[in-house]
Amino acid sequence: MLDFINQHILSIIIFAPLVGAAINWLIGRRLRSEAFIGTVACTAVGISTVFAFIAAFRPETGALRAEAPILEHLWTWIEVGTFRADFALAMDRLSGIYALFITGVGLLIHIFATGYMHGDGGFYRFFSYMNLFMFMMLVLVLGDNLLLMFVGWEGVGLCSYLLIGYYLDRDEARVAAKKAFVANRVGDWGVILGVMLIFFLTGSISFFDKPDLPSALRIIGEMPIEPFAWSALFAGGITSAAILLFIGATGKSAQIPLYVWLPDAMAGPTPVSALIHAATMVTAGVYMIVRCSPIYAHAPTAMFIVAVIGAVTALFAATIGLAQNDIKKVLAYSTISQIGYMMLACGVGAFVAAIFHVMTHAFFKALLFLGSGSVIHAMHHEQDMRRMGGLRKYMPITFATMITGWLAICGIPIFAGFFSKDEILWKTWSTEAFAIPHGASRALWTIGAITALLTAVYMTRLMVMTFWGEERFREAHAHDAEAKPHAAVHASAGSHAHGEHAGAHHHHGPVTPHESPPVMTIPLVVLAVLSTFGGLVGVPYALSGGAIPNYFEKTLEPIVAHAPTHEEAANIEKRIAQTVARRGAEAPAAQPAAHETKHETAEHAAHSPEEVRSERIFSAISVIVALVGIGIGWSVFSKRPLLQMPRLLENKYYVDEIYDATIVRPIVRGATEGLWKLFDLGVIDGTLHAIASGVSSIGSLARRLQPGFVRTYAAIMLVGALILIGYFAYYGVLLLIRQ
Amino acid sequence: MFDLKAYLPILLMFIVAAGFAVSQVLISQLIGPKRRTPTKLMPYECGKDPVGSARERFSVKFYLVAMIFVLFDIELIFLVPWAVVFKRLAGPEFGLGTLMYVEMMLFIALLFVGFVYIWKKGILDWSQAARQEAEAEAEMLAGQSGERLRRAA
Amino acid sequence: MNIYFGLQTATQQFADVNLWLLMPELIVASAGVLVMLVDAFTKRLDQRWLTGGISLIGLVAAAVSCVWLWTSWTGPTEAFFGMIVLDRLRLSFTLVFLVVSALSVLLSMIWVEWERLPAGEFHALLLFATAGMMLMASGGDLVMIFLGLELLSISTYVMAGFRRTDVRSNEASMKYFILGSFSSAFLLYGTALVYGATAMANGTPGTTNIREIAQRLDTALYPPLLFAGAAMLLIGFGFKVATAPFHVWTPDVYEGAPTPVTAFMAAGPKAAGFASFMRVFLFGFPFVVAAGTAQRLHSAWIAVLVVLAVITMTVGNTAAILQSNVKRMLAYSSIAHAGYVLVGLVAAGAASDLGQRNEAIAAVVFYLLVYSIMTLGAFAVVTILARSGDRRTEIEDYNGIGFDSPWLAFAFSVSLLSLLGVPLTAGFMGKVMVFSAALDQGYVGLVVVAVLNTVVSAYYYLRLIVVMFFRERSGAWNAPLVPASMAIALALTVVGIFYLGIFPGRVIEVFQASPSVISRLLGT
Repeated sequence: MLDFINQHILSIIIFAPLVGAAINWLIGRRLRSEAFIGTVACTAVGISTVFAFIAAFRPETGALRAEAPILEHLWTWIEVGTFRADFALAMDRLSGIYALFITGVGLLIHIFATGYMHGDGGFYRFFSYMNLFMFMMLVLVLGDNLLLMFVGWEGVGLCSYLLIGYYLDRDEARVAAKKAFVANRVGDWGVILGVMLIFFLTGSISFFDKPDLPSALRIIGEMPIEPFAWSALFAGGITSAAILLFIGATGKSAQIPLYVWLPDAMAGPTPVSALIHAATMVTAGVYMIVRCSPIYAHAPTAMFIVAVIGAVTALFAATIGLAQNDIKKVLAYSTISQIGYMMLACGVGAFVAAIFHVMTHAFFKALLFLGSGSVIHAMHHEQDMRRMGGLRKYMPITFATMITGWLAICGIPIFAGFFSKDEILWKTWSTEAFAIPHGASRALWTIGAITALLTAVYMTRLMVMTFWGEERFREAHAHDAEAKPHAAVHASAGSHAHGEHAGAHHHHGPVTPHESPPVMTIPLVVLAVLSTFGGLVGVPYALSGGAIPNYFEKTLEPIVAHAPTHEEAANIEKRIAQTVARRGAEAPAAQPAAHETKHETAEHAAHSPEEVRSERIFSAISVIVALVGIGIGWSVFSKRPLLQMPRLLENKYYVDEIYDATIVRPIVRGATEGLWKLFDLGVIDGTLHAIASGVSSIGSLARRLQPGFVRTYAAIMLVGALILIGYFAYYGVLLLIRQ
Repeated sequence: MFDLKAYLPILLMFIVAAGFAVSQVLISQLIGPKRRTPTKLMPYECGKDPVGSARERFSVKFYLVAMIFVLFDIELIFLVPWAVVFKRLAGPEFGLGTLMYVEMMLFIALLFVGFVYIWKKGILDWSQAARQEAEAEAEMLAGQSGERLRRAA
Repeated sequence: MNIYFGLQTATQQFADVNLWLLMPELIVASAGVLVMLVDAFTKRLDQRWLTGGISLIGLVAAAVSCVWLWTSWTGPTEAFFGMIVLDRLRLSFTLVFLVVSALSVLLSMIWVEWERLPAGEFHALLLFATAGMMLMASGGDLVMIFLGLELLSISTYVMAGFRRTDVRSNEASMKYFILGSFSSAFLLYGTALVYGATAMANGTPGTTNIREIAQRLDTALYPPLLFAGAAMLLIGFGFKVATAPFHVWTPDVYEGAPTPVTAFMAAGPKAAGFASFMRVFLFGFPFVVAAGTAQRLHSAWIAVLVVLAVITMTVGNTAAILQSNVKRMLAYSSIAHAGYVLVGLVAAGAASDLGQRNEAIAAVVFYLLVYSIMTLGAFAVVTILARSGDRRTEIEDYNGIGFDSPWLAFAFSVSLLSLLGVPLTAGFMGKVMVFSAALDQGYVGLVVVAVLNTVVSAYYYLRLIVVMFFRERSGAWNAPLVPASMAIALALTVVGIFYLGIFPGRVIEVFQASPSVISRLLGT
């Protein structure tokens, strides 16, 4: 038994949620017992969590302890020619960390959701989708090759679609689900092409070396570094592959230009927003980039683009977040902005910092979302912050936990967000990566710092509007009906939960907020603890002075690629030139060079005093920026919480409208005018009519050939036979004549 | 080594033979007188007036019996060549006596299975209805005679 | 006793008897005889389970002996002077036949009761037909193959006309018999010509042993005879596997024959035909490098098969679109599938490399296995829905039944989707295997035609599914109860379709691998 578990631990981790989903879908829908459904769903995720921890930390072979990944080959999935994709799982340090926070945060959110979704008609549906999502997400991170990762990638997309559109009766939800799906499809196109290109370049799609299958990443790691030039993008080499994958990442991780779906995705239930659209799925793009870090390390052009897109997205989304009034929309834009940071980190070669931020972000953003969910729950599905205020009295636990999330995202020391964000900013400033020209790192840092300031401002605005100030929820609002036409439907869901609100079906009446039940507050507390202390696993040397080992960096550093510095790149180019000159052959000589770059990472561990000093200075700057931001936010919004924000920002720079006018409407128009009228009616229908008449004439011919008379059949066969024999005989005679 | 010319006479013979047959039919069609009389249009039955339809219906049982006869007949013919070579193959030169004997016994056993099968299936009954009638009659007769005996006693 | 199992070396040289090598065939044939006897001595009412059970046990025993031969047999691989051969082609095909027969037995169990037909006769015939098919795969000699073919054919003639009181069934049987005899004559005549053509200059008479034919091709005395013989063999096999233009019997016979028989005929004899087809043409007229008669002959039959494959696929799919009767539609669909298999056969024939040839053969066998399973699945549903007398087999009869009997409709849809070749189903993997084998040999055009044909076939497969789920029913209809044996058969086909579609690797590996690999896979 123990042996079995040991050998199949990864399968248990991924399949437990699948089994949970199946049970809930098949049995839960019949039983309609919330206790049963909730228990099954949480147990399933709980099993995954426990085993994920065991797999990560068990002595000697634990994924986070050992050098080698845990590999588990289930079966060979596709084998055609040289193409081979295994259904095999692997947990190395990167996927181990991902699996840990996916299952851990996922479990907390599942528990929270049993309270949040209480009384909803689709309880079983919700939890089977959620469990299915957990399965797909774990397949995504634990898959040991690109294709299996893509299966998970598509799977989480599907679950996200299902869960965004969970409230089937809301138009908004349906449209949002569709939008998310389409935007993701655009990105997936890039991933597919990227995977194909990688296979074409390396002959493998595996992440890890196996006895009979080389690792695609290692092969790329041994290739020469591509030049830093625009032309490399279209050369069909590593850079093209990296960019294609990044297109997928912009879709899944909501970066410019494909970010538009994420804010709308908030139409789904709040636990979904917390799990999928904040903590886990949207960071899949970051996972992919870090997983493929050898590819990016060899594609400086792609890295540069990633960094720029990330930084611009961070700033852009932060400015929009400043002006939103829907509490979840603020958090959505904040998520986009924070993922922008992670992308920035990837772009400047700080892959470890990116993952660190992914993890801390998962903690505090899940906390903030669940906190907002708790607020929304208390307000009977009211999401507009203009109708909140002064909630701290009514919901002390939610308030206290939200405070830690707020401090964490603003970047106040000790709280988790501080360490990770600070590290990204520092790495941006100090990057030596070949991909980032010297001036660019300064510019990127400036963008990052401004974003940090804005983040502090809009988060403070959120907190102030929600928890402080006068209690605005008692006022009747004129625009109630137009703003939330659907809320009434779901107000009933909330009110079932608490007997005392049985009469709250009338949405327009004043509501009294209430603290949420323990199933909802306990996960909040746990996440608050994690948001507070979770960052301590990655305290940089400069801040701790070595007192606390930077466990996080030590764990991850060996498995991510090292982006070549300017100096190394120059050396490599020189060496390539020399070898070309000497041997007339190109590639092989570059291999040792790529190896050498790896060795140098060890030397990075030695911290020079100047570096430590400047890192400390930058940390101080970060803290000051955060405090200034909070100060601005507090001073502006505590007095005038309903301050009208710039229209341009409130309307999100009209990007949706621009997309609508430039892409959606032309397509719709083209589809109706061109495709439908011309192609569908003209070509397809025309062809069909032609085929139909052709078919019926063939049919009459066929009827004439198949009249049912044996003699006709015999005659047909005889004619066929004569032709065949004639052909063969002709061949035979030909042979004779030749002889 | 292989000469097409050698086949030429055969080809010629085919052509001549086919040509002759075709030409005879054609010529008689072309130059023969065509007077249709009822007698001429009658089916040919050796100079006699035809009686009834030529399509006589046979009972399907004839075919069954014929089929079974043919089957067993052909299979039993197989015994003849076997018997002819048995002596030689069973002799010291080959030493296949046991093999040949067992094989033939197996063959006959299989035939026997087939025979049992058709027997049980009632194919050898000329007519099940007739048999049932006969049985009924026999029973009746037995009953009558029994009655007569009883009466006599 | 020893002489029967090839242990006595003295008799070996005069009578190469080795019953071990014939074990699966013997078991099936004996089971058939046993069923006959049981049939003769029991009442018709209790027969069904008894004869069906004996048949299943016999088939399973044959499968066991087959696996045993595959994994543990270390003796000679030929017996009866090359009449019987033991190789991968034979064993993998034998397994396919056994699967087909077992499923057919399950299908027929309840059907014979509905139709009030004698179960014993039916099962006996089925077993004899199976023995015939197995001989067709195991025969290493044209005469042996012909014997197997006749054993199979005669049994299927009777089975096609099994519903004696039904005119259509009789008609089907009659047509099948006449046209079948016609094609058997071609096969026999081809055999005779090949025998004559392989006579040698030194006075050695000709041969019908396939291996020897291959050796003598270049020294054949009368090459034109050889070519004509090969053509006639091709016609004979073409009839059995229903390639255009020798497919004309198929629609009428498949439509008229009782549905379970149709299911069996569409799956088993077709696969058997391909087994012999491959045996004779791949091993008898193989690829050779040196220019000469053999090379000419090889290129001639490959060229012919390419054309036949194209015609067959196209005719099958085009005609299937026009059908309004489900059985007839499936008949044309089976013709189209024969075309796809021919693509694989061409690939196997054209392969110059032995490894590639074996891969292509494995692909063909895999395709036929897959095809058999999905065809049997489809016909099983047709059987259940049509009930006695095959009354409800028009496409209109399927209107809107999807929601009234969801499981049946689901099983049917799975079979149809697999026939179409939708990914995750077995049909898809089969097509991938066969087409990629053809691509390896450079037959891009052929594969393009095949894929286009697949696209065309979507029309009629999907139409049935649409009809089942999206059409309104005009009259009242009661969902039929699915009897247990049918349910088992259907479940097996559905599971088989998904298993082979999702995890085809192991089965393909088994078909490709040499015996030693198999024993390792089976852990013996």
